[in-house]
Amino acid sequence: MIESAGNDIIDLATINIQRTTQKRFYTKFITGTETLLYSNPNLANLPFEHFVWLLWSAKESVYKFVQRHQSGLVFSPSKIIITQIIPPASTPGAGTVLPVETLGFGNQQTYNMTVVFGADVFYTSSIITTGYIHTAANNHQSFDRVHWGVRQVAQSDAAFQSLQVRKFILDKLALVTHKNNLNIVKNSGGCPILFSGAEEINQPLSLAHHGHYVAYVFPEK
Amino acid sequence: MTRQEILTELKKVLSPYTLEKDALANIDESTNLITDLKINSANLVDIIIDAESKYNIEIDYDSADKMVNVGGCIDVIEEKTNQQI
Repeated sequence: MIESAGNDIIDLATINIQRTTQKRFYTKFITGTETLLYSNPNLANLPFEHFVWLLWSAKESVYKFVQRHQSGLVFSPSKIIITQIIPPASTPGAGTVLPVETLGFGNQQTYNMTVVFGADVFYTSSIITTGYIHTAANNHQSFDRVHWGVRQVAQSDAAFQSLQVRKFILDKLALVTHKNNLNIVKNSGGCPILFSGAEEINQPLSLAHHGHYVAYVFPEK
Repeated sequence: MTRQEILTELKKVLSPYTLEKDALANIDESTNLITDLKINSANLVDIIIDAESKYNIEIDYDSADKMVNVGGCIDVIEEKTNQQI
């Protein structure tokens, strides 16, 4: 079983609700079969625009998870198919106070999805709050050994987000790996690689940023 | 439309989604929307919809997959506008 990491975050304040809910928009990446998942009565409390971005974030998370081991892979969201959505037992509240960093999703109220990409099956776990959707991907159903974190950032430009998400995860990785001089370099495929000084560390990780939120995931070694 | 004409118009489509204005001014066919222009992937569908509106074309799943760099965007717009002729 390959070891990898994939996550995505959506800042709900930045989405265009009117555009998101137009069939012309969401059918660019959500198939007809996937649209039918929304008719599940258990999703009745989920606004359609959240459903659309929930699926997007799952597809992007799975893409990142796979792309670490297939560097030339192009993101084709319509080929990454959500086959099942299991909503939380109760309607999620406003969400945990940020920043949040923890291992596994424990008692978090998550939307858990099964995702098929080619011949492989993946699983995603998503938290939806009033502010954001955060999704992590894995190739097995348990997320107990997945570290994740979400925090807000003051500026929404890509350069600032990039700096902030790196500092966020590197502080955590320094505690977890007990290694010094950690830094992250993207490889030619755009995949983040962890280094300790000049030494490459075999530690998959995934970074995400959108609007005023940044997030990471990485598996416990 | 020539590829150069499409590229010039494409800059206007991409402009709302990138803060990298110098990079946008100097795009060529190899420019990657995400790594070079720092466009958030969540805006890729916006770009497809805006391109559809601008050129009065319809971009399907398979064509959308090619729109990762400027050359791919031009290929798709060129192909779809030619289909209208």
